[in-house]
Amino acid sequence: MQQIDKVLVFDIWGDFAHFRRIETTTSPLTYSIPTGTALSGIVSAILGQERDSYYNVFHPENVRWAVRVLHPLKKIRININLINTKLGFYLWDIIQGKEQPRSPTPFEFLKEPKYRIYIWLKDKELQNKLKKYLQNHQSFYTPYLGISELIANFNFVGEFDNVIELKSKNKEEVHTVIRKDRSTLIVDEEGLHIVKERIPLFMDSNRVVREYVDVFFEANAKPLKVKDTSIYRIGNENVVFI
Amino acid sequence: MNEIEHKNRVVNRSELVFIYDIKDANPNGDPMDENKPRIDEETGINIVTDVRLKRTIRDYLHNFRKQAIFIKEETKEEGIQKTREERLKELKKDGKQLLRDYIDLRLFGATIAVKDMRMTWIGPVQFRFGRSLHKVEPKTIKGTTVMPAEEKKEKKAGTFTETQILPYSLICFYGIINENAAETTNLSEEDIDLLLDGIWNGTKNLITRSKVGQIPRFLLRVVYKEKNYHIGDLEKKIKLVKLDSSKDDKAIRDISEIKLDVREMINTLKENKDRIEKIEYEVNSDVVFLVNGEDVKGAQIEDKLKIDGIPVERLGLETVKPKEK
Repeated sequence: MQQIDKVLVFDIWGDFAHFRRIETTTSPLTYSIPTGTALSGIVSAILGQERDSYYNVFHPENVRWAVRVLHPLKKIRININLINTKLGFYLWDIIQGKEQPRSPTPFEFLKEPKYRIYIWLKDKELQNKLKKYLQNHQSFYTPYLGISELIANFNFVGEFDNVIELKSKNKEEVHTVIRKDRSTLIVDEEGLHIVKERIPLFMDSNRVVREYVDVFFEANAKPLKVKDTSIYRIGNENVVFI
Repeated sequence: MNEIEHKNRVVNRSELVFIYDIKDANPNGDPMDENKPRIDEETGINIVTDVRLKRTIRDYLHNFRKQAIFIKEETKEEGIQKTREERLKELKKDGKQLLRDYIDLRLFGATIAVKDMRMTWIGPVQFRFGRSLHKVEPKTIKGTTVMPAEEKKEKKAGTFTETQILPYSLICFYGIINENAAETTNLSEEDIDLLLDGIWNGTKNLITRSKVGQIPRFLLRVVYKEKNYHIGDLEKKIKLVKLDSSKDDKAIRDISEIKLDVREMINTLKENKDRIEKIEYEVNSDVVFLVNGEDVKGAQIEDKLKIDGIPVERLGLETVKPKEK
């Protein structure tokens, strides 16, 4: 793993988000945070990378990223009409009086989600391009949170170039989502709502997820405490890369 | 890419805000909840899906503007209905041909998957879910429905029905027209004219039982000259103000009881004036805006939108008299 030098930090939010859990089919559920695959889509939309062109850029060897939950996680179910492909794939199969191919489907959405994203790209040219876009509040395609109607807005927080790795053996507070396999979580206070999710990390060029990781986070956007974890000090925040 | 119709391809990004209201009706029923209006129970906010708005636009463009629509419901109109096989045959056209033929594909994109071809176009025009600018309270109406059942002797007997409606909801939609995605679908400015016509007059002319009483109130299109830039969240900068502030949101029944505070929106446009090419708008004469404490009625908002010489144009959609074909 290369030395992490400069890290770009930006906030992203919207009215709703839907980061579809791959294993759910009949009633799509959402992950609570943008996954590695969702984040690569968001960044690629901002940069204008063509669909299916960016998988290598977001290979774990070429990117480090972290996410902080900024708004308490709230979910809502909204029922949406889908087309039942068993009865017909197209809307012209909807003929009044016949069995309807329309299939109302409950979608789970995150409500008023807001996240802080920290990203380091091995490809410096691309990282500089991303910085320019974020700084100027520009986006090539319209960024969205999971599905296209969930239009996102974003704000550049900054580029941090004095990223220091804390080498502490002691208990430390972290602000971001943490990886279960690389952290030891310490729970020494009450009232925390700690969630564990298994999220897809990255996809290959066939859009097949190559790696999943277990992550922990606090559902009300509170920091967690860990030890024996590689923590980076970025601005005023303690960050754990996923 | 050589046809005349691509002459006026969309090259600028735009942000859209559209506000309409509905009285004693249901703006968008939930198919899994007895077709009740969609309400976020926690906040009391009425939600209308983007699919509903796109359907309104498609139906209007098809019925009143004679546009060929790809994604449409086939009703039993004799002679017009196409079979699935015929439509599939059409799919043998290549993607370019489909984009040339169907305005809704150019506007909203599509994913088409048949046996040996798969095409995906990102829609240049995307809308967020619409949300009411105030809390709403549904009301249950009881009625009877008489189904014209054949061969039934007693025709007077009806069925008791319960329908949920909203006494009032002022709904705000937000959208973006992306100039880069516009390139991939060959979206033209003429298509955008039709889109705006569809948003305004489609909403007004949607006369199904559940949607009588929809009135378009305000439509804003901010056209940017800076590439890849838009302000973002423009709809969040419009706030509803009640004339009687002690009144409950849920008790609002008419546009005359509220004002639209657009101070924050105008200030944001001012801050971005160098990035804006022009502003287009349409407004219903009953709307009262609030700009820095001053009441501004209907089209008088034009003066407030004219910021340091930014060209402002009223779209003239309010006076269009659409004829059904």
